[in-house]
Amino acid sequence: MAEDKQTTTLENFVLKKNPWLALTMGILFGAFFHYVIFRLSLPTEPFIYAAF
Amino acid sequence: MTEKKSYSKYFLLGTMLGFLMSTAAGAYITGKPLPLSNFVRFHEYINPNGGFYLTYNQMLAQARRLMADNPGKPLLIIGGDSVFYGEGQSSEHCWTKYLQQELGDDYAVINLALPGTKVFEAGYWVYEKLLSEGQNVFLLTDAMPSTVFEPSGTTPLHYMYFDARERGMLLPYAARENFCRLHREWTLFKDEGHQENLELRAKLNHYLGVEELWTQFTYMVIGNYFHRTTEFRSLLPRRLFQDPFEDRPPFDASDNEKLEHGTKIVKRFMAGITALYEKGPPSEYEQFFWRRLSACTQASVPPNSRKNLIVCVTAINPLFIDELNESEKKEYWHIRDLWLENFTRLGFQTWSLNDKLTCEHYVDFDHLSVEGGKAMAVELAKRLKEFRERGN
Repeated sequence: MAEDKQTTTLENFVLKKNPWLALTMGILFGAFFHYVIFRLSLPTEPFIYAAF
Repeated sequence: MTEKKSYSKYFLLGTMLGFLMSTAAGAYITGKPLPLSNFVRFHEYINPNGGFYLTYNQMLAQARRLMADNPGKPLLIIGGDSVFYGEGQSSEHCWTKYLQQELGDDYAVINLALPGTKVFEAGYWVYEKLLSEGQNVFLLTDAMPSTVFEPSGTTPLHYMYFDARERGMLLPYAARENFCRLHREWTLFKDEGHQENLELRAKLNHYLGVEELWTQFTYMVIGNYFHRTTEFRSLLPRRLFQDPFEDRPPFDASDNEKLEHGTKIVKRFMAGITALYEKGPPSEYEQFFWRRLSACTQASVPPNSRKNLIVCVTAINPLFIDELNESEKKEYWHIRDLWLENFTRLGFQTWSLNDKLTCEHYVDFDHLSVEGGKAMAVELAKRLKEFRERGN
């Protein structure tokens, strides 16, 4: 019985809450993708200013 | 049996939403200055030397903030390289603070010079925009006679020119825009796709606000990439970093190793010019180096942006010139005069600071100590007052 209850809770979380979880993860991924574009646009070789 | 559902459409929706929200945040932040308190200069940790690629808008916004804080006062932008940046002086004793003191209410001074930046970059691009708006703005920039510059900027600020141009902040000026394409033999950036890459980067920042958002994020929230200057502290937000420069002592005249090294640099610089001289051209100005310099100078600044612009020709530490033999000294001064003349002939207000600085004013080959900065501030303030009284 306890096992069944646990399964139901898990199912509820995964299935009922899943749209919100998926949406949240999607938003984070979208923001990360935006950040990746920023990082890719930065120079790969750093500028090193050598003062004498 | 529970029916299996796929929520990938929610994930996709979220991805688009997250991306759009980031873009909207970038657009919102554009034009807002970095929340810097007691701004003196864009120090090591908030300039490209420290891996912090501040955007053109952030620099412009800093100047606009100072103008708003000082209504009615003309804005004096300090542009140029590390000498005007104040390398050799701490933030507390930076020479531009003394310049502001000397000038009093005559001008509001902002230091937009950066290490490695050339005569018509960064601060100049801010000046050009503000002048085109009809603002009461002046630019004081420096050009050491060895600086090789290019109209569209050079490393490390090359990206900023494209950023400014993409946003329509610069005046349309064909000579500048087409310089790289028209003068393949003169440009420093011959590698394939160099300009195109920077144009794409500027477009990404313009339409997606990527650099606007994530540089502010790096400054405010958390460091998100490793850099050699921040090392193990790379995860800390840049707002926690202070200007690391300290007041340096005057140059030790007995340091023969550095003297020898610096003298070699001067000789190499002179040889780099005269070794390319060809027989034939009727005047020295027709030689490769001077032709290029003249073309770069003309193409860097649209004619109607030259009126409030002053080029200062700074000098290297006299100790290093003393190491040259008589003919080398003569050649050095001759080249320095030609350099100065280049700007004068093209209609720029040009000031030489050579006779105002002594070897005690230097911390190394070309940077000034606190005393040197003070001496420069006093001299420039005097000239600026005269300049203003003459009505430019």
